[in-house]
Amino acid sequence: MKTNKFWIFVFGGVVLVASVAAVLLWRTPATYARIYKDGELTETVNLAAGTEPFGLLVECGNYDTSGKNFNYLEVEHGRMRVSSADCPDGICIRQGWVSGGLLPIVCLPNRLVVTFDGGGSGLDVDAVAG
Amino acid sequence: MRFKSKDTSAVRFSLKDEVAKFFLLLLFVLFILFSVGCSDNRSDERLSETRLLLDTYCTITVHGDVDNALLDEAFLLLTELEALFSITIEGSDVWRINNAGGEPVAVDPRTAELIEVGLKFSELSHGMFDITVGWLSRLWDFSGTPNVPAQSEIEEALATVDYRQVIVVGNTVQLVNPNAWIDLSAIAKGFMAYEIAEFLAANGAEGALVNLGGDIVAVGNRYDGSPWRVALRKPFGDEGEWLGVIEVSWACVLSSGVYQRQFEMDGGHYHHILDPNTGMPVISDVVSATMITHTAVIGEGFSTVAVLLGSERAKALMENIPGFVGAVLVLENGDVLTLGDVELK
Repeated sequence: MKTNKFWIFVFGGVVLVASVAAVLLWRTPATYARIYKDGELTETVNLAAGTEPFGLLVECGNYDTSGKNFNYLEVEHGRMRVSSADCPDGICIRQGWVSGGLLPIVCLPNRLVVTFDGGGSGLDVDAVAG
Repeated sequence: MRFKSKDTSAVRFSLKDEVAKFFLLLLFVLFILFSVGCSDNRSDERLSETRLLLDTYCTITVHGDVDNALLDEAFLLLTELEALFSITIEGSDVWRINNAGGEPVAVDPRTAELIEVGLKFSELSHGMFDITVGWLSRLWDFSGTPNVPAQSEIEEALATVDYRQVIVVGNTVQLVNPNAWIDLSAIAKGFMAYEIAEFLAANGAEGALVNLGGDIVAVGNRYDGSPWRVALRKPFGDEGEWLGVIEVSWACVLSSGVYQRQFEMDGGHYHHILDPNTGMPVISDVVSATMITHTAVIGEGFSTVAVLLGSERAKALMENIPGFVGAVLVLENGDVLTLGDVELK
């Protein structure tokens, strides 16, 4: 009786441990995008959350005196891009979709930086020289 | 009876013991699993931060025995160096030299060292590279609102350009012509990137990548042990358009090109690499030069020299420069030349 109880505990334990292990090991790592306005972290976005694409308006920047500069971020299927902005160079828009890795999205005129952690870069590049 | 009772308690105790053992075992297994989980995710164990400094973006990535405080200290060091080398920050070493009215100025040893490196490049290039182009650069204002200056203004500025009027004795720098201006922007970022990399390596970093607006110093390898992967921007290409990717560890990657800081006006294309003989953007067959070197300041200085001198003269000088690893030159006709030990993937 005593031995049976013991083995029931062991069996239950193994099932429990296996479930925890499954959750731990097969969990898809989330990629977070951190949005910095003029050096201040203002928002953290989980790119993997939700299946519906969504947009994010970031009002920032002071390259002109209007105080109404903006970058519009789009998020879909674990990636992010700047789809429109009123900066004079448009470099942030031309950077295209980013899904993680070490290359941040940068808009110098609007002083916007988006960094990524977790996930792969997709591009497998750590920096761009030039 | 007493004995029996004692026996029962012993049985109870043994049951409890088994439960306790089981939970201990469960805890142990869970601990192992967490450890395995963590070591599996080791490739994500790195710190990386981007800040807008030096009029560009600066990304520092580091792994090893490091924490966020180290990153903060690295950025602090960067700010400290900028406050020495900046031409615009009032009270910087360069600002004090430029505003000393021709008198000698005591500077930080790092400023003296950087100026001496700049003077060596001037000698090497027979004055095509000149750190006394400050006045001329300010006229063109490539970092602000660029414009084509009047010929008379250019001539006035050119009269102040001559590296031989800079005298460095120990940590004292004298700019003999009181109207001249030193501008270290062609070599300062590389120097700073290297200083940061050295600081990180001396403070527990096993690997680090210092990227100051595209001027790159790689310490060791990536967190997964493979070399750092650096893409080379395609001149005049789109943001995501690259010439290719090079793999580096313990090396510096520095580029100069006529596609950076440039503007178009009345059908003319004007870029920031100025010819100290004409005061105009240099006419060269090299549109972009990327140097892979062991010391960043050498690579950065020489990448500009390569554009200034053109491909033939640059090639002749290149392999003799100290710490040369390789170079990638993009020519006006679109040809891509790779020199030394570099593989463009």
